[in-house]
Amino acid sequence: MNELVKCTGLCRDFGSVRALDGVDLTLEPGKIVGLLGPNGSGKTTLIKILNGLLQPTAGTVEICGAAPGPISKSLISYLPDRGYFPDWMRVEDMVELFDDFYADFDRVKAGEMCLTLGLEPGSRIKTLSKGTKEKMQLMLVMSRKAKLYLLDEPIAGVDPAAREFIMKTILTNYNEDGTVLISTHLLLDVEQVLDEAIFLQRGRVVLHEAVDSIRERTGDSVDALFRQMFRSDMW
Amino acid sequence: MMLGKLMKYDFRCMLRKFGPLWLGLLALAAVNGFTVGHVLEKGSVNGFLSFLFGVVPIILLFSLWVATCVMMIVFVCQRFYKGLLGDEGYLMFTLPATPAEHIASKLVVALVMEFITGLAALAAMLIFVMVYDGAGFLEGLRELSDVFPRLPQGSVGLLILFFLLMVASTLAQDLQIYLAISLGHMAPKNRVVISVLAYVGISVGVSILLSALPGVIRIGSLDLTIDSFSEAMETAVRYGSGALGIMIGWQLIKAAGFFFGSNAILTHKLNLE
Repeated sequence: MNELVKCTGLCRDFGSVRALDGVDLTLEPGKIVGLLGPNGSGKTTLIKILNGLLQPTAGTVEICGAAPGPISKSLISYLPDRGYFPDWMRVEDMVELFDDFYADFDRVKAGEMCLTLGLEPGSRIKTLSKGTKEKMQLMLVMSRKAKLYLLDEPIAGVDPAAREFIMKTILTNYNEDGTVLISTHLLLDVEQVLDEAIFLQRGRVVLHEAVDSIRERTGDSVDALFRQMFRSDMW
Repeated sequence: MMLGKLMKYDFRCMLRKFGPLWLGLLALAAVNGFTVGHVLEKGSVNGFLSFLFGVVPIILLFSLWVATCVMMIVFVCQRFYKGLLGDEGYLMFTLPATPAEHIASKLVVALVMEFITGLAALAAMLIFVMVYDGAGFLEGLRELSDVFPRLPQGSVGLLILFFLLMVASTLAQDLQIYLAISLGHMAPKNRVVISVLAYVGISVGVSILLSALPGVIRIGSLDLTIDSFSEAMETAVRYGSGALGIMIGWQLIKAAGFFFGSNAILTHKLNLE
């Protein structure tokens, strides 16, 4: 099997709280996968471990056969759930930085996306609004021809029109040979584009299945199954 | 080479913050030299104007000098803490570079910044004297050039060793700050307070380690730590350049220990919550 991501027995504790509890997970290339679960289910923790930003308490992670490190980081394009820009930079500095560090960064595409998203290359980052910074982050992440896109809550906290715009930007720009892992609890907005769904509940993978198979098996939408399974966790 | 690329952006950040400070320091030194030498001493103004043109620029120059020194320490701490372990860490630690390259980049830029700031302070002093009394300044330069050939043999070598000792102790100092911040980062909360405590703890630990070391690297009563440069000067005079060499070696050993400690924490215990 051609494994892009392989997690084995992954655990992560924060003090006495177990955020991930024995996660076994395999992802193959060329898929759009939803990492789904209510707040606090461990989605962000899992994504951070895949990126090497957090170390697991137990278990192992492999990205294309390698542990998280410089090689895996050159293959992953990561959209975090927060702004990470140094405020002394301009938009064009960030484009230059990505171009310097990532061999798969497409500067022409970045220029085109700047135009589409209304980003001025000479603008200072500290003068940009929160929404514009998010657009910029999306532009940088999706201008890469990455093997693995890790998108942490890309549509959280924005209005429905913006959600549609963000999803369109992701779908029209990602590398089709790579895999996109989208973490969200807003399933209705992403269900139509997903190939696979992973349900995380209290740090455990409770379901990992092709979306078509879920629909066939349950006779209902993935969103309906999600609501049914997580009713007690939602509030 | 990722280190070169990381340094490119760290240098840009440093220049944006310190460029205006260095230029301000030099410009204010020139203004002070002029106001003190040409306005106050010639008695062309008095009362409020003498305060405005004489005292205020001196206060400003002194304040800027203090601010630059404070900024230097803040820069070393902030570029490491905010740049690697704050929100910016989400960007930096997803770049395809190793933690060792990140530490080295921050360190090299901090050292260059500290060196240039030292030069700027020296240049500000020279500019002040030059503008205040141009003729006296040239005379001083002539006297200095006469002094150099008359220096005892080995003095230039000793000066070079002092410079290297200064670089090595700054290197160890900056890396001790990085290790303290890295240790503080491992705590679940109150990370800044724990970093400060870690810094103090490391200093105490190093002193205890030094006192417990066997006599092999102790020469008589020679203290290998350098609490002040006057102490280092006295030691050098007493024991010659060999003692300076040992002190440089000790600083480099400490620096290596702090570097490997920080690298181990950022490699195995990175915790960007």
